[in-house]
Amino acid sequence: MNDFSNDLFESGASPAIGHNNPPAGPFREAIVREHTELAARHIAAAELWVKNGAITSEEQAAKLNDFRSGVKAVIKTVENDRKADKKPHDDAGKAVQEAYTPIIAQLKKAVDLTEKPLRDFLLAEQRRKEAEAAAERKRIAEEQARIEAERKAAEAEGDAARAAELEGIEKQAQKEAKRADRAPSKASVGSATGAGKSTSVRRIAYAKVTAVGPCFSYFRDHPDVLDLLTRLATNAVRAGETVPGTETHHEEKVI
Amino acid sequence: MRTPTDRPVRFYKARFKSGGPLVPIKFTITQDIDPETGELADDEVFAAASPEGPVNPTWVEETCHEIPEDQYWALLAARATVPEMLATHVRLDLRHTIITP
Repeated sequence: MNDFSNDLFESGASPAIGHNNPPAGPFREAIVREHTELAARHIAAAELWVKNGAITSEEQAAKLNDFRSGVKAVIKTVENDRKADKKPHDDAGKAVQEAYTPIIAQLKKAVDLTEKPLRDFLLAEQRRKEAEAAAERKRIAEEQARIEAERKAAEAEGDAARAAELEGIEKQAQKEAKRADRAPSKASVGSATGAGKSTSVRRIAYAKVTAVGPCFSYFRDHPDVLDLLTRLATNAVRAGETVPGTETHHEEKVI
Repeated sequence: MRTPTDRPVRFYKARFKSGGPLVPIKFTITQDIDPETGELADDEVFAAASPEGPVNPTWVEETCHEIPEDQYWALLAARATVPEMLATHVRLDLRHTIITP
């Protein structure tokens, strides 16, 4: 009798049961199902407690306390299972980060190391352009003054034709002055090959607080300030301090 | 002169297993008291009983917590509504033993 088992599988051994199953999902479905069912039973019991109304005896209070202890214990169990199922994904994510982050850090370092020479060049270019623009504005202003003086002289001499000609030139000069008045174009560097982006220097502002009082007064109505003050005051009150400008409120929580 | 021990009937709660349910215990002292002198005429007999049966009274006095009588009856009533409490030698798992009103 022919035995085909060795022909079917290269190793000569049969594969394990379940080898044709689809790949496992991101979490243990059977465990999640169990927890879902148990949670539903606890919710149903909680609704019975709510329907039961006010607690009027120590016996009932003790039973309710036991119910809540049970729910909290379930939460702990579910949390532990959640963390266990999440861990392989967290580990995988961490491994991906560990593989890629050093590469990105090295590349960013390459960009940072080469920023200074380019920035220095761009700043020098910007200063040069600003100086050129200032010189041009001065030249045009002087030219305008000269033309105006000539026009007035021509008007005084009664030379209308010359005066009209100079008026036309004056108008041209005014247009030139307006163009020169516009901010000098920012210094930028284009691409040598056409493949890179052009770069320019941008001036970014940062604030340094030099006087807390006036600065605080400026922002006093900002919602973030109130949040910060509330947080600081709550911590101080819980430590037993008295904080001016606050009232202490209490909330009864069942722990 | 042999004075009878105070409080010949007492109530205790016990656990027969760590994490197990509370078990109500009735502790009794049988006393033979001379009606004329008020003294003990014979040795006192100590006994303790749980719903499972007799329990060592010395162990009860030395290790268990005494409770008021109404708490003893409340524990007995709880055993009637929570069947898992009858398994006195098994940890009581409130995750699966859901206590309802």
